[in-house]
Amino acid sequence: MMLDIVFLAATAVFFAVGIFYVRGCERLKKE
Amino acid sequence: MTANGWFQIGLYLFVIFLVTKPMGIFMTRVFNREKTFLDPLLRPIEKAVYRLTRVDERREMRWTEYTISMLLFSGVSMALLYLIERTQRWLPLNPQKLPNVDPALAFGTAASFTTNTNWQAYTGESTMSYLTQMAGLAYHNFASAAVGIVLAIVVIRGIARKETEKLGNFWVDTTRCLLWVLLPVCLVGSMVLISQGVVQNFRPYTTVDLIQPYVAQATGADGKTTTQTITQQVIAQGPVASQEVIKEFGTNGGGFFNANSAHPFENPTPFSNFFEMVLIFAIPSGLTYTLGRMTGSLRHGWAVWAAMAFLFLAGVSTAYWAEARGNPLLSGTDQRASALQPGGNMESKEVRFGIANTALFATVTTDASCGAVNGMHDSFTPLGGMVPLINIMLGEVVFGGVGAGLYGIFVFVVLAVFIAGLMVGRTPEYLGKKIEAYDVKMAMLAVLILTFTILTFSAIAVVKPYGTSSISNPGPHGLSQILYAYTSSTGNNGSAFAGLNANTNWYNTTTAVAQLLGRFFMIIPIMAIAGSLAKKKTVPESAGTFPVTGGLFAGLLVSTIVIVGSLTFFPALSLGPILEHLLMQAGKVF
Repeated sequence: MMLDIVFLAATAVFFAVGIFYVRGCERLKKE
Repeated sequence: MTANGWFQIGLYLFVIFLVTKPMGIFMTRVFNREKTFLDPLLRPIEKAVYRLTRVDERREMRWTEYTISMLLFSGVSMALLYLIERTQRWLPLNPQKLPNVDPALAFGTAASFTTNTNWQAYTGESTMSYLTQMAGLAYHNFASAAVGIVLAIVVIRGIARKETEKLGNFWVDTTRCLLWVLLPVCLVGSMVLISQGVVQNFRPYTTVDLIQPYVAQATGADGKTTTQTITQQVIAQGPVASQEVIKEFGTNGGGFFNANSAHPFENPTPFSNFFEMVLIFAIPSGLTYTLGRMTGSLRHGWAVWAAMAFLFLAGVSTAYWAEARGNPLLSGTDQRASALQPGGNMESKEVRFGIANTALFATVTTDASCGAVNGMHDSFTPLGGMVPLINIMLGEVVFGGVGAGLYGIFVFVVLAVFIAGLMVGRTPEYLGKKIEAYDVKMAMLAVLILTFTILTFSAIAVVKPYGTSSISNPGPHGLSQILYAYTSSTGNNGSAFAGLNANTNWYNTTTAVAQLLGRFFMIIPIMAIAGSLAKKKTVPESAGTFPVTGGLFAGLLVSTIVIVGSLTFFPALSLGPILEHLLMQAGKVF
């Protein structure tokens, strides 16, 4: 159960970082 | 090498050439929302999907919203697959009563199928229930393929459109891709495969008595050897055909059985073998025509196709030559092809397909990001095995994965026109759009994430016991096994070198991270370039414009791909397959 939470959290974190990456690329363009 | 072998390779490329235009035209019509012959049947279903999911089909998105929608869709799909795997014991369609999948393996598999990699660190027939295979894995075969295709379409729209921020609607494109492109072909294709003998049922596995029982010896953990007479065999089966066709058409590659397309229930005849190979290249090749048609420059689409075809022929020729040549250390053995034997290196190859069709399949599956195999790449000669490895290292842009091949080669096109611009001292242009510093920076981010991920994980794995304990051969071959695992994962290919035990916590988690980085962190900067190009004005062509339609462009594109790949990976290849080849010539094998 503990490992399930870890892996599901890791999945959520990865895709959250992906969204930040999108925002970062967008910001780089504006600069 | 035989004339028959070369004929079959030539016939394959000719058939791919023939399907390119119809596939390209059809996909153009689907994504431009023009009329197709399937509209009367599919349009009502499409409208119902939008009504049910409250999608406004007329609303288009900026690249950021499109990409974030794709990320959310992929993230939720991945979590759902993980949960199905972890609860399959209590879910229906599990006649074998298979237990829940271990957490690390479930995570690795969820990442693998979400990213279109389909790296399998498990034996399908003894790990996954029918429900997991169909609702979990086959669903992702469709969804991840559709994601790849629609992203390629966004890149094409970015090139074709001007002075706009709108690049389409992710939900509409994905729905249309599933309904119009993937499902109809898979329905017909699965019937073709069933006609060849691919199985499709929900029966429990059958236990049969062997006509010829045999004696097997096994050594237990206590070191004692026991002898047992084997009189029965379990015949695994299930809904194979429906998964098989999308495995190839969506360039997914994950087999129902561990033996993948070497298994007679997945790939029973030479015709099914040829058909499966055509399915792999059908969409990637068609997308080059879609590129030409949507951008209004058919000659550019064909120039990209020609560059891909050249690299394909170089790869398959090398692999065929290396495998047909055989093993020089078996000097007393007749390894020549004749009417009685295929000759060459037949280790881990199917006699139904022979040398040419195994070399061709290996090249096709790694040119595309498919990963299906009809022979084990680990058993290829060092140079023969290096071909699949190089194909993936080049970014799988030789036709490539569905969508991924086109948006992958787009990065090299940007770099090629940038280099051409530097050489003539002009701002580089691509089909009337100026390529600026931001576009080149994004292109380099896409290239570097692959390099960084492959080499970093491989470097750690070759010096740590948890990495080296999984290899089955020492020396340079062991390095090739590890390098192949991370190259295949990062490139979202999914084929394995077959000698590495990847079902460990280290490999399950690190290959999953490599797959996720290789897929999504490559896509994001490419989408940024598409968004950037769409906003630009077009500039009229002049005498100083570098043409992207002829042989010069195709040559520059091939050179860019080869030079970037060589500079990045030659040191690693030198210590792996090249060193192994030289040592084999000197009489040492691993």
